[in-house]
Amino acid sequence: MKSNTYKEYIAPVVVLVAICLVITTALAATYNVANPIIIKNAKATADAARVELLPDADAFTPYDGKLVAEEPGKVYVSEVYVANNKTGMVATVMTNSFGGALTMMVGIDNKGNVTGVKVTNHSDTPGLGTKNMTVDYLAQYKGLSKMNSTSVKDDGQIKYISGASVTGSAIHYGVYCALDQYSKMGGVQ
Amino acid sequence: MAETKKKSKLSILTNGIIKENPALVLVLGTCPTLATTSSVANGFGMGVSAAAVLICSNIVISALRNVIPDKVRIPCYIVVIAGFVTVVQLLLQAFVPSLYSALGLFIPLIVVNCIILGRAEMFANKNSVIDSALDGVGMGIGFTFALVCMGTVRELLGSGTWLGIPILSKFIPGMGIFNLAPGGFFVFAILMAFVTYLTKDKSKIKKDFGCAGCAMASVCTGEEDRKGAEEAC
Repeated sequence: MKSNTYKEYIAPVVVLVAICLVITTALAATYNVANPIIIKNAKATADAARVELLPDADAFTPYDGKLVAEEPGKVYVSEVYVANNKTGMVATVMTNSFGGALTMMVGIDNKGNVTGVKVTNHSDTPGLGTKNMTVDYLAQYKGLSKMNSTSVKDDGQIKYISGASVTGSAIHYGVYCALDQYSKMGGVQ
Repeated sequence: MAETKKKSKLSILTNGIIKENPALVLVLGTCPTLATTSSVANGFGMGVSAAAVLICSNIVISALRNVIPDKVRIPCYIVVIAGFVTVVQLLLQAFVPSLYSALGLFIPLIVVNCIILGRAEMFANKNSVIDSALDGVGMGIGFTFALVCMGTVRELLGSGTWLGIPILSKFIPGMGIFNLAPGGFFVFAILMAFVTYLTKDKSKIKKDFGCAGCAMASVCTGEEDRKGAEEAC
């Protein structure tokens, strides 16, 4: 009877808890080792992206003023870096896409025109959605200084990909948000 | 004897490629199959990521098969698989960021890939570590092969390219439906039919309709009930 109770109830619980503890320990150890390197990599990637989006800039300084939030917690500017030689700025925008949060960067020159758009992180399923993140698709935003609508379908300036409008709209809303930030900053000061 | 053993190991390895192809014959992992095969590169990425996790999880689950009680085997498998996937994701992100940027999108999808859980349940918990590793390799190759085949057809017809290189796009415009779910189902069905034709039904397991395997065995009173049920059908 005692042996049955052990086999039926105690052993499964003990084994499951033991496996969970081992896996959790392995995850914690891996996280401790990997996370500082991931943060360092992310910073290097962000710096490289800023240089790519605003090639005329010599160096960047973080902007410490008010940041725009179109929809708090969903669509907002998380950081802005202004070029030291005042050639423009690069805004990092968080927006809401098909698979969840999407992080993108938008470069804007000192005349208020978009110099480039780059998606730096997202959780969308590979396939149609990611077609909105290709260099050719994002190149459509270059030179634009005003968005007519927050929705890519209603804007009329972008040739959007049918069937993938959630990601397309998320990116479009992000560009809208970055241009809004630029105008509220009163340009690059 | 040694030859027989070697042959059986070879058959374990090759089973997953065509005869028991996880996507086209066992019909496992249909969701990532349809979602990621709009291009060859995406299909290959998903196939390689799933194969790596499948091999590792098969080895770990097979090694623990005598320790894990039957009652909690599924939660244990899920914890092992999810833990493995997260560790792989963190290590790739930290140490091979270029590979992570190419495969990173597929890695979270692997946790919900039923091929991993299916092979853990069907094979790894009943066989030795080496056999399970070979099964993981074979199934991984088979899954990658199926995804690359589907990706090839869908990318060629949907976008006119192969691995991004323009091929058909010079002659005919891409048929957008092949990039969407209906086109995916269409190509999936054609490939399944082709593999079934190739294997000539050899992969089908003959069903045994004995009472022991029947879910109603405990309440069934015998022959008369079964005859009645057959007539009703």
